[in-house]
Amino acid sequence: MSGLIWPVFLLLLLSLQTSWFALFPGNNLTPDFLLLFVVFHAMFSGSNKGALFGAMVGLVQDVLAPTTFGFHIVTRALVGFFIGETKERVFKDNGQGYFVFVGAASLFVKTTHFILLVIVTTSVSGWILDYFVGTIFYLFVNLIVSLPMWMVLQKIGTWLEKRDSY
Amino acid sequence: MSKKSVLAVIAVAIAFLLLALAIQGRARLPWLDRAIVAIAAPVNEKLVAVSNNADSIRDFFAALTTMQEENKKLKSEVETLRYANIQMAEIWAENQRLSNLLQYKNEAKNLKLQTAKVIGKNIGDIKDTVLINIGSNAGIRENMAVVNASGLVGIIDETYPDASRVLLITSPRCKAGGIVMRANSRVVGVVNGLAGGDAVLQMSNMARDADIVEGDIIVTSGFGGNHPSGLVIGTVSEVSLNVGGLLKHAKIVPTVDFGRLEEVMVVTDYQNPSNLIKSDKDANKQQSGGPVK
Repeated sequence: MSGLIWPVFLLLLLSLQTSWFALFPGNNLTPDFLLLFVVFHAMFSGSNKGALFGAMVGLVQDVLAPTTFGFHIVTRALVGFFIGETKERVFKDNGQGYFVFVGAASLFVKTTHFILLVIVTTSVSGWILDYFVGTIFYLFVNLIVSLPMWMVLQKIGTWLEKRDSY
Repeated sequence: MSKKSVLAVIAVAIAFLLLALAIQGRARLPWLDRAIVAIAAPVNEKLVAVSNNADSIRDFFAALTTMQEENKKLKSEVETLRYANIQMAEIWAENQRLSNLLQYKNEAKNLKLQTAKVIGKNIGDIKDTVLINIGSNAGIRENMAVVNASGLVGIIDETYPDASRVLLITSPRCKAGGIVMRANSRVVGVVNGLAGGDAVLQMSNMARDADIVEGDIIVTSGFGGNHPSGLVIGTVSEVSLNVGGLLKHAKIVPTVDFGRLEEVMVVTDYQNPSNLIKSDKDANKQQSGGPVK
């Protein structure tokens, strides 16, 4: 039963992300909840499981938004792998570490997305400035949301650990 | 007889004298009357004022309790009204949007439209799709055009029983035939999104001498047969030649505000304006007794 918690939570986050515009109308800023979830998992499960989990989350996104199928799978898997790898060497499992990882993952995703767009459109004129501004807002919103997200995920993780220890 | 008794007798006599004069009406002692009133009136006035003030103070304290209760009630009423106001503002905004859609629906008589609500956005990094709340059960099929009161939003990319995915015109994957609306131009090209953002579209595949200038309005050409013609796409913001200098392409600012999409309409069936003119002619002929093909 407890194994279902994370998939259910993933679906909940997906719904939250896609309906965020209706909850906070008037702006186009949506936190990347799924990326925050991948970062959290990678921090606690290491590089291999982090990459696998990232690929699964990416698959869900690619199935729903198939314009460039595979892009989310690859980028989320890479995020999961590198964060899992780096965390084992450098950081402790704390909120500050999560905050830094969220910032790095957001920038990584936006950079890869930028490269993809340059390949697809073969030109950067007309959209690069908007993209830059959008990236700053994306980073900002993700960092803000990372704090409550860390607390919620920690609570769930602790609850599951207690449950499993009985 | 003592001195005191004499004074008392004199005082009584004067009093009787004054009384007798007063009774006979021969003297009312107006000077005394005025003097007394002059002294007494201000004092009296002050006393009355004090009394009135005392009444006010009593009233004030009495009212204080009532006011506190009323204040509580009013506060709760203000909260209720504030909430209602927010609700009203939201309903008003929705009403405005729906009115615009309805107006568009009434004006676009050549289009059969079905209204839908946007239920999902921002699924992936390339924010070029949205989910709407009607699907194949409502007769929605792939490649149908999706519009709102401002113009073309996108095309149906995938249908589910009770939902559909719309590929926005801003997607690099979405391509639609466009034509310059200006009567003496009518240049055609292919319109597609540039970077998945909502800022700019691109119209390409135009000859190097094509008559297209900044400010031209681009509408759908309808040549492909998949979408109706005449749906507004956007306004030309920049015209330039491609790298080889053989073809012209234009940047187009879309008329639709993709950041604020909440309701859209799916074009489930349509008649192009040229056919409408034809059917109008037929109707006129029928009315005048002429043959109808």
